Amino acid sequence: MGSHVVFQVMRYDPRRDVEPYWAEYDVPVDEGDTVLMGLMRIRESLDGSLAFRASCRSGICGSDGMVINGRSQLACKTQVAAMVAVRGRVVLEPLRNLRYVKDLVVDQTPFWKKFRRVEPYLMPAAAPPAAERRMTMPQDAFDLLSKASDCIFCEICYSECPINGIDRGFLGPQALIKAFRFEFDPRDDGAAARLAPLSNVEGVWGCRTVFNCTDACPKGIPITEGIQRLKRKLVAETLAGMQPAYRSPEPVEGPEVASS
Amino acid sequence: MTTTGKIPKVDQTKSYDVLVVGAGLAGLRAALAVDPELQCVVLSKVYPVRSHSVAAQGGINAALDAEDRWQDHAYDTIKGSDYLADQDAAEFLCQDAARAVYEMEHWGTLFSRRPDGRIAQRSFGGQGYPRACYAADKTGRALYQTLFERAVAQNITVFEEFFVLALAVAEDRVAGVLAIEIASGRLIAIPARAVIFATGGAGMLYARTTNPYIATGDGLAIAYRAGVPLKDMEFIQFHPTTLPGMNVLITEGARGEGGYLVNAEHDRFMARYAPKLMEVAPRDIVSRAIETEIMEGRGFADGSVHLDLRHLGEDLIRHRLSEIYDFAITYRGINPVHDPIPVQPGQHYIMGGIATGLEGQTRLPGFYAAGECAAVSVHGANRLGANSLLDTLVFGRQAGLAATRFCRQETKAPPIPEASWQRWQDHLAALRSRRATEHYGPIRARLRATMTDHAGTFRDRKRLEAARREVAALREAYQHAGVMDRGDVFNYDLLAFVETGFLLDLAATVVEGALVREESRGAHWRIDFPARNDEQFLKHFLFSWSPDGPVLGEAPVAITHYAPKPRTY
Repeated sequence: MGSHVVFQVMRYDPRRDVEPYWAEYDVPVDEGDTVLMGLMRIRESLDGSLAFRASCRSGICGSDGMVINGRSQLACKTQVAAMVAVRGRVVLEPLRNLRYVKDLVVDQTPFWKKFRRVEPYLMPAAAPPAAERRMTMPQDAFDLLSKASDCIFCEICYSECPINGIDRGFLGPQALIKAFRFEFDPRDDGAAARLAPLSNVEGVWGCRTVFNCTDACPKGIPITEGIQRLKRKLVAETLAGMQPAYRSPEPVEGPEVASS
Repeated sequence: MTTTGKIPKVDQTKSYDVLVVGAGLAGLRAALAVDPELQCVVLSKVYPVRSHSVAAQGGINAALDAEDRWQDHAYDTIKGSDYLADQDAAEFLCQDAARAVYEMEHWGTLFSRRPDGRIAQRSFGGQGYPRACYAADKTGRALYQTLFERAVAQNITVFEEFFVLALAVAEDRVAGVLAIEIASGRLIAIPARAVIFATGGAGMLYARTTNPYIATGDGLAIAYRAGVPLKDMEFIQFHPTTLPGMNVLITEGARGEGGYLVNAEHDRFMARYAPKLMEVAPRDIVSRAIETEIMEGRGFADGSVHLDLRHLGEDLIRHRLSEIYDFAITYRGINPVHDPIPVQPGQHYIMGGIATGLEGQTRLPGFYAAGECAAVSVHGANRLGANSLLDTLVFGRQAGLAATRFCRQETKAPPIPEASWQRWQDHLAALRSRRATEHYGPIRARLRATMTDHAGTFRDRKRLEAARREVAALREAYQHAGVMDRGDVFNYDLLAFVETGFLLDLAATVVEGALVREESRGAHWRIDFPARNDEQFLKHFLFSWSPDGPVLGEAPVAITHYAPKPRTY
């Protein structure tokens, strides 16, 4: 390239505009540039008033999820050239399923509330060993959980999930994969505490296995599969009447979640 | 934590006990160390999980094995610092390391494992033992998620998307902070008995950096303006291996796992610079080696050398180096299983920072700092890889404990002077209405270019004096610059303007320190003074704010057991 590309951006300032409108920017881009680099160039030299969130620039902080040419993606992991190749320009809109605030900024409140609902922290099965003692974990348990814990809270799965679009109560893929990460940790004993938020139609049973989350996840987390494993685990626990005996240190049957 | 996005009602008459600014590892660890009986709140200009702690890749050092000793870790840290670290601080850090790592383990961190289930450790630069505990190549994320989850479990209150502008000072002690609520644009005063800064680095000073957009040195500049001295500002770390272009970090762990650095002549050139440690020499040495190879014409056309991982095999690369595997493919279209990765040095870390003691305390009573924004100093002239995550956890906790003790002694916070709120209110209103001819954007771009060209890996008087002139000119231009967004809601334009002012203040300290330090030590290399000079410069510089620029002071280096020696690897 080394040329100019049109960035078509949805703009809206709640204090000034009656409704959103499209703005177009002629942005200088180089080969290999990401959409985020183009956005920063707009803010620093073309129009400082364009609001969007961004931080790490490399797909690890989860700040810059937005709808790019129709799909929710991270601006910092999306190549301008790839977008131009399909549509001739870069079209940017805010994430879906969250309240629109300004330009490319949405209100993340429901997403975080739902994350907190699943009690997203380790509830150790036993009192932790004395500080100087080692606590061990099998390598295969690490492999199973490591990928699920790659979540960067970017809200892209939440934006792409059709259930989140029609049911405001549905916890959404992110909260559920977070629950998976703890429910399958051999050190955790929080199943009873997480039963209520997980085992209902706003929890795992709301998932209709559309796989949008898995397709869209910028970290490649097999989210849908994790949610189905949670479903099987909840069934097994219900059948076992929540007897302590059901808790085996091994994960329940089913294909391993690949670690990469 | 407060529910996110909702505008919390910050009552100006309500006073907190402890305010923590910054929600990365150091900030959250500090908050978790504050006595739960006290009213503690964390402020962050982004959502907590966006903090750059999550980007740390390679590991966290701790002497865990029976064959390893914390004293050896301390020696490696001090030698790595080119003897500028305060040795009591380095010893404290290393002695507390195993506790810090096991604490995280017990809280749930998913570390990579050895076959027997224990935490896996790998080699890292400048160390005599493989003591970097890791979680693949995403150790920062693994640690951060755990601390964040602890913060959720313990109901730590976080005010997300609050941008701190200034410290409030009254009666010769800290009184709280002034901040903008980003969602509404409101300026608020938040009174507190103690304030802890954990605001991270200032990589946006440089064009080539691994740092995020948010690393604009806010905490350092705010402290500096409030009369708290900064320390060791001339010491900027350049990480040897970043992807040319975006300068995304390629972990030192890639070399720790056995990766080679080769130049365009297929030569493993590190043999000529650090024959014993080769690719895992400390960062300052490897960065200079790479720059030298490139300057002398043995680099590749895009200003890089190659990091070759192919001999490590696909399994190791895709499991233990999964993140950089993804980076190489995403940003360069290169599969490191089949092709070497082009790399070049990029700004990565700032060793200097707010001058603190072992408890995070500063010259201003009630004001503490921890993590990258602080200089205890454990890293001296050059930080070892995998010591910064450790620093955040150890000294974040120290600051939280110290702030708790301070609150027990001091009964009430002094009221925030009305004038300091009004001054900022007027300033922000003037900015919004100012018809400026220049936007801050070009000023910021010129600053990055200046610092990269003139205050980078190799320095000399001529270039540094040019940098001083340019920074002064940019400061002048900044006085007349303005913003384009005149609104209130999510006005990132206004925030970036303020950040630019922070960066300009800090740039002056970096350049001034680099000019006065006429020696080469650690990451600070003067072509015109290529040797270390302990007689004149085995000391810290302190930088105090004045209207005419930084005023330099000095502080001695604490020496306990390790007499300075020549540094070879």
